[in-house]
Amino acid sequence: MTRNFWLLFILILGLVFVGLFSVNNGPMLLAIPLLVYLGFAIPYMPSDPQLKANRELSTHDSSWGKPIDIKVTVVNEGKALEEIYLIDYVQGSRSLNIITGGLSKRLPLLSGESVEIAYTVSGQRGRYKFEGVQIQTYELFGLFESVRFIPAHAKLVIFPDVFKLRQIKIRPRQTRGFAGPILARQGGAGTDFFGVREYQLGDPLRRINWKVSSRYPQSLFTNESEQERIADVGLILDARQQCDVTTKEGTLFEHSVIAAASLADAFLRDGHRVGLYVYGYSVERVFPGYGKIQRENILRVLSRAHTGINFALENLNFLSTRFFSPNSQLVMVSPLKSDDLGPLIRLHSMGYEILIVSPNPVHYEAAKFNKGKNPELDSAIRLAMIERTLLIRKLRRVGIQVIDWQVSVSLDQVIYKAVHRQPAGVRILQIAS
Amino acid sequence: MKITKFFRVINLFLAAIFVSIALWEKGLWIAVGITGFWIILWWYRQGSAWDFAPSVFFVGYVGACVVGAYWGLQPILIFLGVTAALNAWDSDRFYRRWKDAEQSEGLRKLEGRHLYRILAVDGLGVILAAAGLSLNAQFNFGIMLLVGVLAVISLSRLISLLRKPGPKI
Repeated sequence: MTRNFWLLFILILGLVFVGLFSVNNGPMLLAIPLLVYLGFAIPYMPSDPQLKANRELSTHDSSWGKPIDIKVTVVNEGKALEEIYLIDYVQGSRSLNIITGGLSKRLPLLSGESVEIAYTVSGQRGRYKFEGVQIQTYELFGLFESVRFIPAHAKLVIFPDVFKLRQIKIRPRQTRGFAGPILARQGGAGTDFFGVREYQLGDPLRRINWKVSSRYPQSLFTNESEQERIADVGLILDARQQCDVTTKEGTLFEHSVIAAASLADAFLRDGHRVGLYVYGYSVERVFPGYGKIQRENILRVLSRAHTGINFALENLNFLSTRFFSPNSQLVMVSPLKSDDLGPLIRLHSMGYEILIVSPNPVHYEAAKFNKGKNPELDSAIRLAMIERTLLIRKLRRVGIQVIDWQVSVSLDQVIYKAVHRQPAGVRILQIAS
Repeated sequence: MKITKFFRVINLFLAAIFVSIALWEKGLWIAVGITGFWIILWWYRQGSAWDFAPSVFFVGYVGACVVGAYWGLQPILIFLGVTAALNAWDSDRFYRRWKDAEQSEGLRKLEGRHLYRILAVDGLGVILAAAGLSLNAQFNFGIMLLVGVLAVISLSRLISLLRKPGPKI
């Protein structure tokens, strides 16, 4: 029963009682059309609708901002319905933007007839769950309603944005047995000259170093190349709420997620074995693997990554190293906290080669303030910058590579500048400055 | 939805006319003005986003008619006024529900069916009212009270029957 039914009911009761108690037939007479109106609605009262719903999505995995077509078809398998109102529901951590179409529809639905709700959405990174369609049926006067929920399940994952990065040169202490892009510090098949060794049976003649061999009449020497192999890369995404900065434009964590996705993509493209470890609210892992499937697995975990407070994981002391291969390359995406210095040095001393991509939280937060207007604020920003620079300097001093990333600048540009060897002139200028 | 819109306006006009005639007969000029103002306000607020608007105007109109019945206005005129107001209330709500729906042949048929049904309500209401006005029966207060209690019990039984949940899909 709808609100209008109750209004009518109270009105009828009121008129009847006023008429009875005032011994006046006037109000009783006025109740007649209302009673007839109510009486006419009762035979058409909606009973349980026999409906079935089916949902189709143009894709179940999409990326940020890409349009996704959703179509829900509802079929009436029971008797004709005079008025039906369909509302489609979506559950998710964030909201989807409807580009075209609508989530609801009102129409009469005859027996055997079907209706479609079609709309196009786009959304931010996340996981979205479609449970079903709420169906409200009414008779023509809108006094009686029947509300049912018809399941039409579907899931949608919107992956984070992935920026294409140029090849990132890493030098872990240990590589894996398969050919790849990293110089393995071992002689063998490769392109770069590694050294000279004594000739062994089976060595191709064109590799013999005749110059060296001429000095030793009794023996021959062969040129040896440096082996190029793949490495194990452990990607760590810092999801601690304490490190995150939220502004009206968004959160710094979103940039961290994009950086992690882009780095994973770049390392997997180079053929490395990449694993993901999201450290923050809880621990989420993707075990190391190769190729496109691994890329999808990583993006799937990143799509649902969020920040949170967990006092057990509030500092990096509890970062489990069992997940990473010994002496492998660790790539961490973290805005960094002052108490992260100790745990990171400890990790480095255990033999891990560490590269930190650090989205700059001070710069991100300072961007929303007008510089030069408030001297106290300017001083605070400057102090925070100094504190951060000192932390980064300490980390670099122990051999940890830190990339300070101001998120307004392209990640590829920042990484390329930091990781690749600069021309001598530029290096001299950097030292001088 | 043109027919519904037209039907709504016609009924508002009729509701104003019937009660105004009844009031004019008694020389209640101020009441005519107030009724006219109320109906104009109702007509003006037809498209308002406030969903309660038609119900508020309808209840207000019925309340005014009850007062009119005590002033001894012609019963048939105020009855016709309430019937017209009921039509306007119903068509206003119908229009609000369907105005954004996709215009189709099915909707046009539905609109026609709704109109026939409301006209059937009006017809039956007029017949019952005429029968009620022609009847002249004397009841003492005890019987009237009994009838009232019976009406309340039957209505509450009817409502509980209607509210009984059906099997879920």
